[in-house]
Amino acid sequence: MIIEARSFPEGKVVEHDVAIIGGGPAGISIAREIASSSPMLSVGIFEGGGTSYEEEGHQLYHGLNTGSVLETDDSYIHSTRLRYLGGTSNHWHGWCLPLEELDFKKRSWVNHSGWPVTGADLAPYYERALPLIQIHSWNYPLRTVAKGNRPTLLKESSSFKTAIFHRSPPVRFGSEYRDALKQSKNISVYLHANAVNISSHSDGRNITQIDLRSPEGAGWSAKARLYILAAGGLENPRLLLLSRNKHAKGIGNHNDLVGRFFMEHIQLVHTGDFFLSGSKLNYKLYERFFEHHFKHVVLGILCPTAQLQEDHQLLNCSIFFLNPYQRHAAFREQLTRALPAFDHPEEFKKESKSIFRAGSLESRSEQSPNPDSRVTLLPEKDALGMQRLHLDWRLQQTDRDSVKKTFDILAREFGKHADGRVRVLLNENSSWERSKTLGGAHHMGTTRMHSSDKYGVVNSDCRVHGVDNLYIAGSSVFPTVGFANPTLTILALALRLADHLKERLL
Amino acid sequence: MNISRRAFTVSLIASGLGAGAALKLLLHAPSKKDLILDTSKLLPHIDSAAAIGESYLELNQELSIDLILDDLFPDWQAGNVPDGADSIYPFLHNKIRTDFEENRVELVRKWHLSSTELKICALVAFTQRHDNNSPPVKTASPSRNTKVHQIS
Repeated sequence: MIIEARSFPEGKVVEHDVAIIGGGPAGISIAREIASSSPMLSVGIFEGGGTSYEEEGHQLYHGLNTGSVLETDDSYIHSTRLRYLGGTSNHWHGWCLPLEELDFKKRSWVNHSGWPVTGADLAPYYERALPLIQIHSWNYPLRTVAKGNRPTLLKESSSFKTAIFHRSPPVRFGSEYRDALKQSKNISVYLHANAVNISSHSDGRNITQIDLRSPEGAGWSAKARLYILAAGGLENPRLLLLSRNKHAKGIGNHNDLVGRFFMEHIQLVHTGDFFLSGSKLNYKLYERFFEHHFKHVVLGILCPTAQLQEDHQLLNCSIFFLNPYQRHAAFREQLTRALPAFDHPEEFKKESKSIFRAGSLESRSEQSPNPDSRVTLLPEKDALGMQRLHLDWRLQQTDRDSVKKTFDILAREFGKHADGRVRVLLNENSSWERSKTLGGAHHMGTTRMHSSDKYGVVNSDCRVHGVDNLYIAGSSVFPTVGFANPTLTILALALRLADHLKERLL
Repeated sequence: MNISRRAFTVSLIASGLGAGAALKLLLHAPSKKDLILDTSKLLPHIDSAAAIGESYLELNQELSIDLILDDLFPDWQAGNVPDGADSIYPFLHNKIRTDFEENRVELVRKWHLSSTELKICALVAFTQRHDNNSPPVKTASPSRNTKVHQIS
C-alpha cells in the first residue's frame, strides 16, 4: 500500500520487519524481493518525496559544492538527483553494463582498490536484475549486432575491446512499480517520510528506530528488525554522519571513513577526433541504435583490455564515438580524404562514401579512490533541521594521466590495425580543464565496502561494520567504480542483499 | 630498375615546369615512371595530402625531397624499389603498419600519424609548391632530426 505521511501525528510509531530509507531502484527492488519471499514479512519504504517532483522537498537536497574540477556549481548536488518515489531513476538515461572482473580486483597500481566480492559472485544477480529494467536479451555474439558479420573496431587488437551498453527504456521505478507497491499486502510505502536520524541502542551495536519528519514538522518513527539505508550516494553518508546519538562521529564512522572516497565517472568532453578507414567495419555498432535482435537500444564503445590496464597501470575507461559526419574541422576533412588510401587503397579507389567516417571521441573513465574526495556536513541546516551537505569532489592527476595514456595507445592501435587515425586533444601533463570535465551524475564510494572496518564502512554483505542490523544499498558502497554506469550494479547488489536479508529473516 | 637520383629531383623541382609537368616528364623515363606514377596513385586527393604535408613540413623544416625519398625507398638510388602499383601498395601499407608497431608515430596537429604517411604527404606538398610557383625547395639537408613520438 502507499501511505501519505504528511498527516501523521507527532509521536506516531510504525513497525515492520524491514525498514528501508529511500524509494529508489535499490529500495523498491529489495522491498519487492523480501515481500515476495513470504507474506509474513512486512516491509516499510520511507520515501522523502511524493510521487512527482516537488520543489519544496527538492530544496532539502541543496548543499555546497567545491572541489578541484568542474561541477563546482552548487547545483550539481541537487540537480543530479531527484527526491520522489523512484528516486534518481526518474531522470536516468537507462544505460546498462556490468562492471568487469578486473574492476573488482585489488590492483597494485590503484590505491584502495579491491572489492570483497568478485564479478563471479555478482554475475547471477546481474542476470536477475535485467528483467527489472526491461532488458530481456543480454548475451550475444558481437557479430550479430548491427551489421551481421562485419568486424568490430580493433578486432585484432589485444589492447582494446568492444563492449556494448544496453539501454533500459528507461524504467522509472516509481511509476513502473507504483501499482505493484499499491496492491502489495506486505509492503507499505510512506510518502513525505523524511528520515532525519537513525537511532542506536545504548550499546551502539543495534539500530532501534528511524526518526522521521513530515514536511509540516511532525516527528514520528519507524521500528524494524532490520534497517536498510538506500537514499543515494550523497544522502547515505549524510544520514550516517547526522546520526550521532550513540556514535559521536556518526554511525559507522569510528574510523573516519563515512563520506570519504566520493567518486564519479569522469567525462572528458571532446577528448579526441577520429576517422575510420575501412568501409567494411561495423561502425553502426558504435552509434546508438535500436537493435531488433534485443528489441532495445544498444551502443558500442571501446575500452582497454585487462591486459592493457595491467601492462600500463591504467584505470578503466570507455571511449565513445560521437557525431559522425559532423564537426569536421578542415584538417580532419583533409585527413579523411587523403590518408585512408594508405590503409585500404582498393576501397579508396572505389570512392565509397562510407569510408569517410569521422567524428569526435569522448572518454568516460574510472576515478581512482581518493580519501580527500569527500562529503561532510555544513553548520547550515535545511528546513527539517538537518545539516546540509558539503561535497568536495577531488580528482587526482593520475586519473587524467591514465586517460591521456589510454588515448595515446588507442591512436597507435588504430594505425596499427588500419582502422583509421586518432587525434588526442589532451595535452601532456596539463591539469584538468574545468570547461571540459564533467561527471555522470553518479555518486559513488562514500560508504565503501571492505572486509575490514579500518578500510570500509560496510562489509561484503553491505552491513555497516560494528552495527548488527543496519545495511546500506546503492552505489555508495562501491570501493571502485570502473567505467560502467552504476544502476545495473546497484540493482545486482540490491538483489544480493535481499537474498542475505531473507536468510536472516526467515 | 635504375633510377637516377639527380634526374629524379631535377625533374621534379628544377625545371620550373611544375610537379604535374615534372611527373609527365618522368613518365617518359621508363626507369622512373612506375615508381612515381604508382606512388601518386595512392593519393587521388592530392590537395588534401599536400595540406597534411605542409603541416608536417612546418614541424620539420630540415626535410627535403632527397631525404624523404631516401626514407621511403632506402634503395631507390640503386634501383631496388617495389615494382608497380601492386607492389607499392602493400610495401607502403606494411611500412605504415610497422611504423605504428614500432612507435614511429608523429604528432601533427595532435593526430597520431605514421612517419611514412607523413613523408609521402610532405613529398606531395613539395611538388605542389612548385605547381604554385613557390621558391625552389632544398634538395638536401645535413639534418634528419624529425621528432618521433614514443609511447611507453
